[in-house]
Amino acid sequence: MDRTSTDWSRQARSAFWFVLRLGISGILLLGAVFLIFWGLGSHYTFHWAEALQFDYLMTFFIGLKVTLQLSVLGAILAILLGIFVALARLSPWGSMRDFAGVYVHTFRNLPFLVVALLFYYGLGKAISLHSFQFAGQTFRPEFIWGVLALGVYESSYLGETFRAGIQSVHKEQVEAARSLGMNYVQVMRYVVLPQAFRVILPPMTSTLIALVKESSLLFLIGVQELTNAARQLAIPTRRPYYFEFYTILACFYLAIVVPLSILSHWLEGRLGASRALKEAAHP
Amino acid sequence: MDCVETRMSDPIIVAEDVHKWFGNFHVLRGVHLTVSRGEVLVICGPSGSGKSTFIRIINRLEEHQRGRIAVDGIELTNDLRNIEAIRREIGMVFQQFNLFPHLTVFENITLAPIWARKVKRSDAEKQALELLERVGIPEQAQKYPGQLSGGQQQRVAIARALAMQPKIMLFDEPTSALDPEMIKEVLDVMGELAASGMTMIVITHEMGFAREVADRIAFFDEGRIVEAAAPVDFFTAPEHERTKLFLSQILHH
Repeated sequence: MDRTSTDWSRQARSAFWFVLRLGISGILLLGAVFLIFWGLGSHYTFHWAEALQFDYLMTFFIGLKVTLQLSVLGAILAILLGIFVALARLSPWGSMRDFAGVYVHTFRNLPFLVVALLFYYGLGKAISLHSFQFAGQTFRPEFIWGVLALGVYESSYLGETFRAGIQSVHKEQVEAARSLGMNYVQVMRYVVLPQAFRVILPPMTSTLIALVKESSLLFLIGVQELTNAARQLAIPTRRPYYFEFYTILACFYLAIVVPLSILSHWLEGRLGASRALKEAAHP
Repeated sequence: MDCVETRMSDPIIVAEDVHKWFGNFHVLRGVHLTVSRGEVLVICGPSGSGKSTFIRIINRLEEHQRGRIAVDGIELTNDLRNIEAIRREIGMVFQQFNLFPHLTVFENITLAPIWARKVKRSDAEKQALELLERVGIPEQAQKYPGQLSGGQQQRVAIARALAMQPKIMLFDEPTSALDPEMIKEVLDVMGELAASGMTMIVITHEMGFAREVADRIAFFDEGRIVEAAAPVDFFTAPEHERTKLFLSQILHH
């Protein structure tokens, strides 16, 4: 018990230093950004007061909501498909492995934008989806195709991550669980996946962060997300504040992604403790 | 000479002409063995002789390619339900313990009863406490395997296998990975288990244990059982040259 509490205080200290370092770097970066903006002052006149008015910010927040919806639904789809891809890659049937291998290598080697265009302008013309209402909101076909493109694209990365994580668990662990009469699903659920998770977590977080960032490309198929909101506002003839709007846009993405990074770092710290225990169990 | 006669009635494991190849390597070359209910069989023999492969075949961690094996009347085939039914009747203890490092000692013991045998959680926990008492480490219940000594881990592994209430226990060199001072605590637990009437197959080179606890000792060499006899006969009057040589090597060093 005392050992667990020391682990906790060590993790708390490590998290504290991490946030402090992050804070200091953030301040330095902001200082640098300020200097650049200040230096640009003679070439470009900033209108922060105008750009930051309530109506415009509301437009951003509506875009933010859609970006978050795209990201969450895309991530759920990517994780579910990723699990299937990993299990297929590890399957005893050669044709399943081949199929999953082709899937992985195809999508990993395409730019996301190409996949999004293929889905919306290719599949979208062949299979016509209809807008639907859910919880007082209308979801349009480009949103649905966008979620599908994100989910499928990132599942090719997650599938490989999951496969590597599962393969990192010693085969003796599986034998021990099988010898206790547990079936395949039970062995996976209670023995393999909990141990694989600590290996999977760091690359999975990077993939999910990439997913959030790639969702910005979906403005090209007309999804009304965050980047689209900034572009709508930054029409130079009407409101010549595009530098300001794109700076605000960048801050919104950082506000989504930085907490994800911190959460992942914290979880890794916690799982690090169990890694030490695991290694001690394999003399 | 391949056939080892049954000394007791009521066979629980029957193996006939079991063959196994790893690629081109013919690791088991026709093993015949009958184990009776309640019998303690010690298997010894040089490394690479196939003894470990043979007991892994008994609970289907490996598949045999020729011959037949029946455990408690159930034929070992590819039928998954048969395999899982057999595995629930057979406990296995490994050389490297193979405890689940992400679970506490207590959870290691209750996991399989709860999910594979569908025992109520409270009953599984009550049984786990009794088993930890039995193997002598009730105070370690809330620790993780990595926090225990090798001897303690192996005793947890025995408790974990017993929690499935098996009819047969297989031990694959259970003390080979242990520091010398920890071997006795594990052998003591195994001795008590044998005294309680458990059917056991133990691969070990602990000849003191074999002499005291075994009903029969089988000597494996080159994928066959060369000789099987009661400990007294095995140690004092081995019939085969290979057995004599092996005994002289492990007893006089």
